[in-house]
Amino acid sequence: MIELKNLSKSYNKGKVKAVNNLSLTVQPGEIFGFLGPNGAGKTTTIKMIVGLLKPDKGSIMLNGLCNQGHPLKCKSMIAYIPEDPEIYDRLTGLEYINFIGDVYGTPAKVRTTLTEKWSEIFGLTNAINQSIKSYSHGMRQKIILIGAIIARPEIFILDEPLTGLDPKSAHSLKEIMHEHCKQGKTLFFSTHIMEVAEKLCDRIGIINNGELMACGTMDELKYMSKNSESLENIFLEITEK
Amino acid sequence: MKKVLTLLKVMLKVNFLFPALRGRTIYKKKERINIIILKVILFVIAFPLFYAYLFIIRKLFELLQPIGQANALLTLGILITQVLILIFGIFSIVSIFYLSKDMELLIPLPIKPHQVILSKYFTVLVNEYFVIAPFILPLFIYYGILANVEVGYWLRLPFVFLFIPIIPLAITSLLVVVMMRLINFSKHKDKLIIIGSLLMMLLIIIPQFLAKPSENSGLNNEQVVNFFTSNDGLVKMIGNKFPPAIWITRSFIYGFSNNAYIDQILFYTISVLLFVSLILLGEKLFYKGLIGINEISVTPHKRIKPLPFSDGAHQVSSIFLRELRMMNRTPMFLLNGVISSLFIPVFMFFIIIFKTGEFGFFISAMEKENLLMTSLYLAAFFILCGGLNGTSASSFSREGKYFWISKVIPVSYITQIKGKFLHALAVSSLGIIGGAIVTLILFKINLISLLLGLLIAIIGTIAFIAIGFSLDSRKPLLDWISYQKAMKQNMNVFFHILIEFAILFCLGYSTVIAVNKKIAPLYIIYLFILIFFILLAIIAILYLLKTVEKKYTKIEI
Repeated sequence: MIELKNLSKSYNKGKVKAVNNLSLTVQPGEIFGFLGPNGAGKTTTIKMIVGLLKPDKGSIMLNGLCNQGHPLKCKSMIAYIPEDPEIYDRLTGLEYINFIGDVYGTPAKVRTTLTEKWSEIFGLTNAINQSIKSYSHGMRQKIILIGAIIARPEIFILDEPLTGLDPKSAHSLKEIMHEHCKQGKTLFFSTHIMEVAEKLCDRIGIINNGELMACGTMDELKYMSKNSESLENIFLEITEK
Repeated sequence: MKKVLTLLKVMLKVNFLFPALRGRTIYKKKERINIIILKVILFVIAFPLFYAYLFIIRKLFELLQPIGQANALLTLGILITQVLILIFGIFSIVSIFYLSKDMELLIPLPIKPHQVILSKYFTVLVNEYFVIAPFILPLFIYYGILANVEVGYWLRLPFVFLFIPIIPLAITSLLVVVMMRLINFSKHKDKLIIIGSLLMMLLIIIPQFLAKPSENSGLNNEQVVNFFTSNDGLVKMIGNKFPPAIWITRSFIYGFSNNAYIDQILFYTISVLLFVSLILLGEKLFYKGLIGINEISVTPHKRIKPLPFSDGAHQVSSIFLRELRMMNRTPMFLLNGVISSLFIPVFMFFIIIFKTGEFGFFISAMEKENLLMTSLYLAAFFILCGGLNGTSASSFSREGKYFWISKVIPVSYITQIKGKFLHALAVSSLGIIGGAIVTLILFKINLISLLLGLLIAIIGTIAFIAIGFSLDSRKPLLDWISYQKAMKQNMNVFFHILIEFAILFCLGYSTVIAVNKKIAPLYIIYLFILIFFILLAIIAILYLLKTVEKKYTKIEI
């Protein structure tokens, strides 16, 4: 479960408010989609949840623990997929997986099974012993995903996870997301792709200029909106207010 | 030319506007005051070093002035600066010309290769001005004061300063452009960049040792007379290994008079020739050497079963392994870290082997010295061997854009520091062991002296590593576009080296005074230094452990 309470973050000594008094809750077993135009504050919010940025105000509770007070326990619950797949390019795919397995304490047997399964699904089996430097953007994204899977997190945080993935891998990722939430775990992801959010998410939050403009199930959003044909129309109506 | 200037403007902004490039850190008012205090401390630390440098300049001036050879002091400074630029410029040129991340943006633009190469050359040149200024400017200014020079000297000083790195950097650029073109033919580019850079360094260093000055072995009468009657006798003798040093010195001293115009003509002609060569060669070879240099060859693997998974290493060993792999597999980090750790012992080896005659007095002095005194000399030498590689003071900066991983993994920052510490210690140990081996081979050193020296050196190195981590975690340089920027052009590394030198200098100076004035017996001095380093290590480690959590948390990316 993720609980954000009155979360605020500003840059340039308070001149730019990236996130302003944002509060929302993501329940266990829920896929939560976070939508917003460029520069709305999606990545800043995600970075605060995973501990890359410190909030100016407010609190972030992950499964009942404050991420500022219990950073290590919170980190061991989270797996984070960033928007830019920047990972140690001088390691091989397998060395990266082993590194993640070691730091998350995943037993060797589990990491072997999971890596073999998912590298096969993502088409990385033949590349896993090669240097990450030789990987394409999509391959890097996939190896981060495999790393996140072997971390066996309670909470998945994904920032634009589908950008750069081929259709087959995107489909597999959606299956991972469903599977994760079926186990009663939490998933929070940001996206620009409305169709994906509409089909995949149990609930959706729309952020604009750092403020949460709307939050709810697809039906709830449709109820709030005048133009309720599609999520795209709802999104445009809310963000262009 | 307009395009070169535009490119140069952008590159200078990217390379030198460092506040914008730093990882964001949040400081409260009280912490800002602490930063100011830290800066004052750094200034205070730099002061004894600066004083020692001026002292050496004055002593050399007083030695050379009576025989009319004081100008040689300038040649010596210019020569050392130029040779160092020739050697270490290789890393900067390879890194900024070929391995910087802006090249992916520049190649598709409608800009000619020579325009890119010129703008990059000037970027490195500007950086060299910052590097050489603290060394060469005090020499020029203090010499001017001591020699009571005419006004023309002061007017020429800025130009001379600007001209010093031009030729050596152009030579290095030309060699690197050719080297990288050859390397790009190969599959093993990373390895060849390391080997090529080392071979180039040897190519520059070895002639400096092998060239036996003819004046040394037998000056005929005429040469002796010339030497003492000409003010430039020693200038020519020192500068004959790299003539541009002579041209610049003579232009500096004489301006347009006294036949110095020949030196100036030579300087300008060679500079223009080198520039034209760089433009022509750059146009032909630069992109051919550049495109694909970051690619690595991949052999399609058949499915490997079973996959070699680790059995679950301890978090500290995982961090250690990550540091080791990332450093050793990045050519510029390997060259600047591990290999530069071995540089001093190897350099020392060459000096003693090739110049035994000139350093004979030093060898016999070392061998005859008191056991404890020898161990103190050795300790200082070993600390220098192990402490100048910048591994600890760039540890966070080197992570660069990958730093997010360190922030999100469930590994306490103290555990991360332990892994990093072991890695930095391993790199420094290489230098220390290298120094010990060279010492054992070259001198008939008592084994007890060696062990006593090693004891101080290891404890001192541990202290300096902890100081390095504290410096870099305070404000790491995470957003860099060239590897050189993360290590050798990182101010944290510079301050770290400054602190090391200052502490070694203060201890060395105090030891000399204590020994000469017989203030305390040698064993007391040895114990004092040992205890000093033990205390420094304890304080530095405790401070690091106490502050690292806070510092890590403050770094925002």
